[in-house]
Amino acid sequence: MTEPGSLRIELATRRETMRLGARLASTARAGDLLILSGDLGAGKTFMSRAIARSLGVARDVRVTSPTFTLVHQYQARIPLVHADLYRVGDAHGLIELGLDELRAEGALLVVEWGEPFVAELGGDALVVGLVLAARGRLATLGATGPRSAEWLSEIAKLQAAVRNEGKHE
Amino acid sequence: MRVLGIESSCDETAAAVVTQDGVIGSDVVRSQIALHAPYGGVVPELASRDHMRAIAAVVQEALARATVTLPELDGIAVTCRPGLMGALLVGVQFAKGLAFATGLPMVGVDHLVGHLLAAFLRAPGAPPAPTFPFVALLASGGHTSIYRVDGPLAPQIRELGGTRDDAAGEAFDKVSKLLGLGYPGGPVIDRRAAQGNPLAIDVPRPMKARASLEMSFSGIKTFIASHVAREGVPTEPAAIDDLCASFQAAVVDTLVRKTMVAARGERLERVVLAGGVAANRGLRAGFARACDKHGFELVIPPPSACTDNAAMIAYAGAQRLMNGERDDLTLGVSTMTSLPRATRRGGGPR
Repeated sequence: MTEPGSLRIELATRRETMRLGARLASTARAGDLLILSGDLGAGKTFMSRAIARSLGVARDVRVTSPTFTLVHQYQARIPLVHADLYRVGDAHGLIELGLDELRAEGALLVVEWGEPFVAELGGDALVVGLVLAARGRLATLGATGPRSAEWLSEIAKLQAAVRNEGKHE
Repeated sequence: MRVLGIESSCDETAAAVVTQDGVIGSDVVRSQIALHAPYGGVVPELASRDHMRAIAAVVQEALARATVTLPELDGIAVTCRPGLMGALLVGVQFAKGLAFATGLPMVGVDHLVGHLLAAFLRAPGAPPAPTFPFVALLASGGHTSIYRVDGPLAPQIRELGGTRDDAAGEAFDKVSKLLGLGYPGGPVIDRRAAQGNPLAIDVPRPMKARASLEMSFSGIKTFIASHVAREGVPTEPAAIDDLCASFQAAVVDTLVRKTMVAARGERLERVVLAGGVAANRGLRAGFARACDKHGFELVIPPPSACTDNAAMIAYAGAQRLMNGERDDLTLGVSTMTSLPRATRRGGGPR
C-alpha cells in the first residue's frame, strides 16, 4: 500500500522516539494525515504525545489514549486531531467521527490503527509503522500519495543531516 | 423530588427515576455489548443508531416500573458530556423533547459527576449513603482519575491526579484481546486472575515511587504485549490464569497505592470507588485490605451502580435542581468532561 522508498529509523530510546515526533511535527502542514500502525504496546500513543508536545500542546494538557473516546482535539500550531480506530470495525463507523471534515478544515490528523481507512480519511497518508525491536522500537515510514511523499522526503533530509553531523563529532 | 435520568453516552441506553435522597424508583439499563462484541468494542455508528431505536422504550419502562407519569416528575436530567458525540445527541435531544412538551425543568449532567455520586444511590428503606468530603477513585474504560469530592455539584469536585496514557479499563480490554479472551476484558481477567498466582510474572508498577498522583497503564500493557510476543500466548490454562493474576495485581496495586497517597495527602479518611472497574473483585479486595490497614472508611457501590446507568445521572441532576439550577433548550453536548484536570506534576516527556 505504501510506495517504494520507505524510510527505516531505529528508535532505541524514548528520546529518539520523541526526536522523530518532533521532526514529524515540524514538517507537518495543515490537512496532513499521519497514520500510526503497530501492535498493542508498539508506542503509538507515546509517538502521538511526542508530536502533540512538539506542535505546542501545553504540557499541562494530558495527551491520553483515545481508544475508548475515539477522538481527542488539541489547540496547537496546527489544530491537532488524535484519533484511534482500534474499536471501529468498518468504514460505516467512521462517518460519525467526521475525521475527513476536520482534515478538510485544516487539522493535522494523527490516527492510530488507521491503516485500513486511509481512503475514507481522504487518502495521501504518511504511514509510520512501529514494531518492538530487541532494543526499543523500529519505525518504518512510507507515503501513499504526493503530499505524503514530499513530507517523507523532508523527514529523510532531516535524518540524513543529523547522521552527517554525527560523523563530525 | 423525583427526577427522570437519561443516559446514552456510550454503549448503554438507560433511564431511571430517583429521588433527591438517592432512593431508586426504577433503574433500566439496556446494554449493547452483545451488539458490539463481534467488533471488540463500541462502534460509534452502531451505538447511536441503537440508542435511537431503544430510547423511547427504555424511558417508558423506567416510568412504568417507578409507577410515575411524566406530569408527576419534578425534573429531567440527561448526560450531556463526556462521551461519543452521536450517542450523547440521542439522549439530550430526547430529554429536550420531553422538557419542551411537559414544561419540566431539565439539567445536563457530566457523566463523571454521575459516577462519583453513584455511592449515594440506594434501595427504598436502605440506610443513607456516605457523607462528604471523600476521596474517590473513578476507573472505567475511558477514564481513570482520583478526585476530592466536597459536595454533589461539579464545582465542588476537584481532580487530584489521573492516568497519563491508557485508562485502567482499557488496559484490561487490550490485555484480554492479546490473550484471546474476548470483550469486555475486565470480568474475564478478574475470573482468571482469581485462579492464578499474582507473583508468577514480575509485572512493573510504573511510577510506583513517585509522590505525584499521575498513573500509567500503557507500560503494563506493553509489558504483557512484549511477554506474549516473546513467549507466545500460553497454551496451558493455568499459565493464562497466572498471566491474568500478575497483570491484574499490577493494575490494582497502582490504583490502591495512588488512592491511599491521595487520601493521606488530603487528610481525608473516606474512600469511595466508582466506575466500571470498581466491579472488579480483585480491586475490591485490594482496597478493602489497604483501607483496613490505614483505618479508612471504604464505600463501594454495588456493581450495577458502578457500570454506566441512568440512576446516577438522575441523582446528580436532582442535586443541581435542588440547587436551583436548570439548563435551557439550547443545552449542547461535548466529548470532554467539564471537570478541570489536575495540574501535571513531575517530569518526563509528557
